[in-house]
Amino acid sequence: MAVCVAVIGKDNSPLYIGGVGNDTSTDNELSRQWLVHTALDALEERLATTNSNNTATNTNTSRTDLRDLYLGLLYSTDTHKIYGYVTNTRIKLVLVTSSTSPSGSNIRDAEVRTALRRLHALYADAICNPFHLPGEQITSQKFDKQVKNIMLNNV
Amino acid sequence: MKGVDSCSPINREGMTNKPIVTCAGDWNLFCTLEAPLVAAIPQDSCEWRRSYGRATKAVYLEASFIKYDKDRVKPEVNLLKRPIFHIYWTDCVDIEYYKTTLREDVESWLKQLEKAGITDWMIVLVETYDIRKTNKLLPRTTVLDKIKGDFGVKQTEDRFISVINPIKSEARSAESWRGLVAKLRHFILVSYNKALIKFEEYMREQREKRNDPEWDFCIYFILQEQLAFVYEMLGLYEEALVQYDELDALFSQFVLNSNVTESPKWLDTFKQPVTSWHAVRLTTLVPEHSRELIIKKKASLLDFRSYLFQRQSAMLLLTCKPWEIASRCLSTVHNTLMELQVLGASAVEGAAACWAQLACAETLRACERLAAKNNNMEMMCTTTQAPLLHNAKDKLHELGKLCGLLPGSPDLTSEQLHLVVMLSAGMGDSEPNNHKPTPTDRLKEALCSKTSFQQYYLELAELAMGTYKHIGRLRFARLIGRDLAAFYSELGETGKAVVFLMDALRSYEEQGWKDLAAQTRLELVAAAKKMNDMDRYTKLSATIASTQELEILVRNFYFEEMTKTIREHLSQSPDTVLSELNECFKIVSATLLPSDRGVYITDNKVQCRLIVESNMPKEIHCKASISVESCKDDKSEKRTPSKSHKTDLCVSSVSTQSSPRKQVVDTTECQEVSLVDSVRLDDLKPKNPLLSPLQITSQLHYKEDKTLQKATVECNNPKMTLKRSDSIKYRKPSVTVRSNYQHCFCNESFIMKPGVNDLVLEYKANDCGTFKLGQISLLVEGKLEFLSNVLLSAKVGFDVVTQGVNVYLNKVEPKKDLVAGLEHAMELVVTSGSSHIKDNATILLKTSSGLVMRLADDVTPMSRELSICISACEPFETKRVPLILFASLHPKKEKSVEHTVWLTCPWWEAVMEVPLHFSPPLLASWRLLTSNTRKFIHVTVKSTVAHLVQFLLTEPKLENDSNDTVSNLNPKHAGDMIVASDGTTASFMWELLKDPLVKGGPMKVTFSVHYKPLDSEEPPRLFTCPFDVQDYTTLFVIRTKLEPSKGSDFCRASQVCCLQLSVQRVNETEYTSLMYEVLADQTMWVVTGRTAGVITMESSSTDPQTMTLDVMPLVAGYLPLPTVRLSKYIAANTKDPKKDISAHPRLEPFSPGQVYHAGKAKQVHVLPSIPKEYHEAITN
Repeated sequence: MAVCVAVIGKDNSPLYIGGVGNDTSTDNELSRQWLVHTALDALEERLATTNSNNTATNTNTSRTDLRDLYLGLLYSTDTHKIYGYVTNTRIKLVLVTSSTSPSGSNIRDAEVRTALRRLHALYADAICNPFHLPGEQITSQKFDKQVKNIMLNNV
Repeated sequence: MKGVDSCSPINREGMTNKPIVTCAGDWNLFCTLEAPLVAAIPQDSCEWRRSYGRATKAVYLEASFIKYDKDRVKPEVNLLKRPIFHIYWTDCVDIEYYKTTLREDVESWLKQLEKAGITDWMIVLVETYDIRKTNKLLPRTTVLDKIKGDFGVKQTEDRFISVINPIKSEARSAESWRGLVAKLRHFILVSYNKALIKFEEYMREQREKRNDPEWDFCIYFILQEQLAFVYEMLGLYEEALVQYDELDALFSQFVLNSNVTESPKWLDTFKQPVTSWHAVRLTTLVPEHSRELIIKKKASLLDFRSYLFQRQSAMLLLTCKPWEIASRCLSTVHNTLMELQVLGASAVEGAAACWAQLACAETLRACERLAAKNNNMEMMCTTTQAPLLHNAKDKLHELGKLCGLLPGSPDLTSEQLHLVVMLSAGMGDSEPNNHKPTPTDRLKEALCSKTSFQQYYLELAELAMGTYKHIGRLRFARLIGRDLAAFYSELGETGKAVVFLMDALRSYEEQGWKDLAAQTRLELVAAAKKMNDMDRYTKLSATIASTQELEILVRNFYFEEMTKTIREHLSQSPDTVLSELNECFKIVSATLLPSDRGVYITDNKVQCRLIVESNMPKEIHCKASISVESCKDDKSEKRTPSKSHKTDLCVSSVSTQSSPRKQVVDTTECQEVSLVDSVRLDDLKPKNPLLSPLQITSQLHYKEDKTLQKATVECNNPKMTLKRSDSIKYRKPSVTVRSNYQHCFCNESFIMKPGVNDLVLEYKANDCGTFKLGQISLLVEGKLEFLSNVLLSAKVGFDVVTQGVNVYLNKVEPKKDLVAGLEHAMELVVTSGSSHIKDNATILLKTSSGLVMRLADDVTPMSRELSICISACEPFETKRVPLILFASLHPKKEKSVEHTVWLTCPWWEAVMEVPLHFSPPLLASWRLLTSNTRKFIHVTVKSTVAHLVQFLLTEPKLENDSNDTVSNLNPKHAGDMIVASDGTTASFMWELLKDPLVKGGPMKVTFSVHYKPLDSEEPPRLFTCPFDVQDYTTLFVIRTKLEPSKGSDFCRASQVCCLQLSVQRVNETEYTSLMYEVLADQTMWVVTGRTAGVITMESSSTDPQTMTLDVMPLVAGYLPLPTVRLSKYIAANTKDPKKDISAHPRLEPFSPGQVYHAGKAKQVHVLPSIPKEYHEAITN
C-alpha cells in the first residue's frame, strides 16, 4: 500500500522513517525522504489554516475538524501521493503511496486514514517503552516490523 | 430567421443549449413576436422548484424557438435536442373562423402532443388592441373562451393566454405581455423539471449498465454532459461541475480497475496512440473539436482529459474560482500521466511531459489573467501557483533531458532533433492573434535551442522558488534550490550552485534530517572539487568522512581525499583551514586535574583531561589545544596595579604574616564566580522536561451514600507539566573565528582513534588570576583545524595564584610569649614560593627603639639594624635565618611592650612591618604597712608571662631619695628567691627608719632586684621598679574598748554594752575636724543610738578624745570589735564661697598609714545571754 512512512517530531526532525520497495535510481529511500521532508511544508500549512479557522469561528464543525487528526492528502507528485496525520502533541505522521504501483494508485482515503490511525497507535505503544527517551529516534525493531506490515497492508 | 434555425445548438459555441420551444399555429404571427419574446425571457429570474428535495434555485432562463414539426414531437432521449415546450399561436378574433378552421387545427395539434405524451403546452391568442372595442360591451364569448371551453380541463385552465400584440400597441400591451413571459418561464421550468427527471432516470439506467460489454463510456459521457450543459445554461455551474466530476471519477475508476481486472472494450479507444498534445485552452467555450473526437470515439486519452479539464475549468472560471483550477490542474496532470501509463497508450517520448507542462503553464496563465482583474484572487492563487510552477519546471527539465538541452549534455543527436520536431508538431499551432507568446510558443521556443531552454527553465525555477518562499513553503523552495544547484553546476556556475546547496544544507541540519544533509554534502563536495576550492573540499571531506549515516566505503574514500588534499594542497599554505569541530568530533567532557599543591601556581603545569569522541573512520594525527581566557571580572582588574610593578621575579602578591589569610579570602571570592573544574557536555543540555516525573495521585470520590462515584487520576501541578516550552531553536554556533591561542592547554601530538579518546593537555601558567577554558582546537594533520566553543558556556575555570616570596619573622618556640628583658631566639623564614631568588638578595631588618638583635651564630653586639643575605633559592624552597632579639626593659609598670620590626626586601617596594608583642618578665607591687608609728614597705614580685618561666632573684634592694634609712628585714642567708609564672611570688620587707614624731615628706623609692631565668646561664639582669611613698606618717591612733553595761560582769549577747572609742593625735596635722563612723557587722553588732559623730581635736593637746557608744552584740562568741573609720571633716564654708565650692560639709578620707587603728584585730568574748530561769532566780 504505502512505500514510506515517517514519524516526525514536534521540532520537525525525523523520529522514524521506514520505507519498503525496490530502490531504483529515481525511487529510493533518499528520494522518499525528500518527499516526506517537503510534505512538512504542506502539513504545517494545513495546521496553520485549521488553527486560524478555529480561532475565527468557534463553531462545532471546526471543533470536529480539530479533533480529526487525519489531514488527508498533503500533496502529490507524478509518482507519489503524500498523506498527513498529526497527533495532539504535534507528532506528525506522514504516509507516502506510490501511484505507479497498482495497489498504491487505487488507494482509498479511508484506507489511508485507518493506516495512519494504526500507525498512531503503534507510535504510542513504542514511546510507552520506559527505555525510550521522548524526542529520540525510534529504534524499536518491533515498531519497525509492525510499521512495515502496515505499509504492506497485510496486518 | 433565428427561430427557424433548427441546426443543432451543439454546433454553436457558448451558451447555446437553450430549451427548445416549438411554435405551432400562425408562424408568421409568432415571427413578429419572437424577438421581443427571446429578449424578455432572460430579463428576470424565476424560482425553480425542483423535485427530490433539491434546493430551490433562482435561475435565468433563455429559450430558443423553432417551428412545430409534427414528426419531431416524439420525445427524444437527447435532452438538448428535444423540444421542451409547445406553444400554439393564433390571432383569430372571429369566432366563426375559429369554429370552422382553427378549432380543427388546434385539436389535431393537441392530439399529436397527447399522442406523444406531452402535457407541456400553451395556447396563446394574440389580440390587437382595438380602441373601439373597449368602448363597447365585451362580447359574450371571445375566441379564447371558446378555446378554453373546447379544450380546457381544470388542470390546464391557465394554459390559455390572451395577449395584446405589443408590436401594434406597445403601451397597452405591457401587462398582458409580462403575464405571458412569466407564464412562459414558469411552464418551461416545470416542463424542464419533468424532462430532467426523466433524463436522470434514463441516465441512471445507462450508468447501471456500465459493466455490460456493450456499454461505451463515450456515449455515456456525451449523455451525461447534456445535463451539465443544461445546468450551465441555467447558470448552475456548480451542478454542472458535479456532472463533470462524476464523469471524471467514473473514468478514473475504470482506468484504475483496468489495471487489476479485465478492461472493457470501450477503453481501447483511449489506448490508441497519442498523436497530439495540444495545450488545454482555459476558456468558457466548449472545445467542439475535442467533443467531436469523443463522439466519434477517436479521442486519445490526452484529448479526452484535456476536454474534461477544460470543461471543468470553464465551470470554475464561470464561478470565479481560478485557484480551484490550479489545484485541480495538478491532480489532473498526475492522474493523466498515471492513466497513460496504466493504459499503455503509446506516445512519443516526452509527449506526456509536453502536455503536462503546457497544462500547468496554461493554468498559470489563466490564473494570472483572472488575478489581474481581482486582487483578492491573486492572493488565493499564489498558494496553488507554486506547485504548478514546480511541476512545469520539472516537466521542462524532463523534456530538456530527453532532447539533450540540459547544460553539459553533448550536442543534439539526430534522434533528439527529430524528437523536438515531433513534439513541436504535436503541440499544434498556437492561438492566432495573441500579443504575448502563449505557453505553447514558449515551450516550442525552449525546445529549439539550449539557451532559450535554459532561460525558460531558470525563469520557471526562480519563479517557483520565489513563490514557494512567498507562501512560506521553504522546504519546497530548498528542494527547487537543489535542482537549480544541479542545473547551475552543470552550467559551470558552481558558485551559484554552492549558495543554494549551503542554504539547503543548513535547513536540513537545523531540523535533524541527517540523511538529507549528508546527501547535500556529497553534492557540495563535488561542487567544491569542481571549483577547485580546496579548503572547502577538505572540510567537507572531513565532515563526510565523519558522517555515520553514510556507507563506510564512501566515508573511507573521503577520508583519504581529506588526507590527500591536506598533503598535496594545504601543506604549502601558511594558515590552517578552520572548520566546525562538532561535525567530526564530539567533546564528551573536560576536566581540570587537581594540582599537587591544591591550588594552581604560576610557572607550574595545569593539566586538563579532555575526552573526545572521533567520528572519523580511521586514525588521524592530531594536535589538541584549548585556549585559556582570563576571567575579566572586577577582581582581576583590582589586581592589575599589582601586576604593573611586577619584578623580574614575577612576584606580585604582598605577603606578610597576616596577608596569607587575605589571599585565601580573595581566592574563595573568585571561586564564587562559579567556575567549575569539570564538565560533561551531556550535562549541559537542558533537561528533558518529559523525563521529569509527574506528580500524579489517584483519588477516589464518593457519593453521599458512601458509594464510589468516580476514581480519578490527578496531576497536582499541571502548570509545570503543561508549561509550553519553546521548541529549541537551532543556533549554529558561529565558530571559525579562531581564538587567541597564545595561552593554551596543549597536547602537541597524538593519534586520534575512531571512537572515544582520552587526552591530557598541559598549560604552563605564567600569570596569576582566574582563567577559564575557551575554544577547543583540534589540528588534524597540521593543517585542518577544528574549532569548538562548547566549553565557553560551561565556565570551566581555575585560579592561578602566585606564591610569591614570603618572608616571615617567626619565634623559634611559637608557643612561648616574647618576654622583654630576655634574649629571644627567632628566625627569619624566607620561602621562595614559585619564583627563583637570585643570590645576593639582602633583607634589611630595622627595629623600633628598645629592641635590638643579632644573628644567632654571630657574637657581634646587638644592634637595631641588621642586613641579612639570602643565598640563591630554587622555587618552593625555604630558608631560615636564626636571630636573637632582645627587648630592653623599661622601668614602667606596663603590662606589655610593643615593638616593630621593619623588613625591607629587594622584591617589594613597600617595607614590611612585623609587629612584635613583648610581655615584661616580672611585675613588682608594694604596700606600706604601719604599726603605730613604725612604717614598713612590703614588695611582692610575681611573673605574668603566659608560659612557665622561673626566675632566680638575687640582691633585692630598696633605695630612697630621702635621708631616711631603710632597714632590711629580709633574711640574709636564706638563699635566692624564685619567682615563677605559675603563681610563685616572692616578697621582700623593709622598715622605714625615721623619726616617728617628725612628719615625713613624700619619698621616691626604687626597688631593684637582679633576676635571671633559672635554666639559663646568662648573667643576671636588673629589674627595677620605682614607686612613690607619701602621706605615710601616722597622725591619729584610734583605740576601742568594749565594756559590759553597768551591773554586768560580762558582755553577753543581746545585752547592751558600752563601746569606748578614743582618738589620739600623735603627730602634727592641720586636720582638726574629724568624723568618726562605727562600721559594725550587722550580723554581730547593733549600734544603738548614733553611729557617727564629728569631733574636733585640739591642735595643741595630744590627749585622746573619748566617745562612748551603746552597742549590742547579737551573738555569743569571740566577736571582732566594730571597726571605726576616721575621715577629715570639712565643714560647710559659708563665708567664703570662692574658696570652697560646696556649701555642704563633706568628708575626705585619710591616706592609709595616717590613721592607725589599734584595736583593729581585737576580739571580745561575748557570753551567751542569760537563760530566763536563771535570770529569774537571780532577781528573786
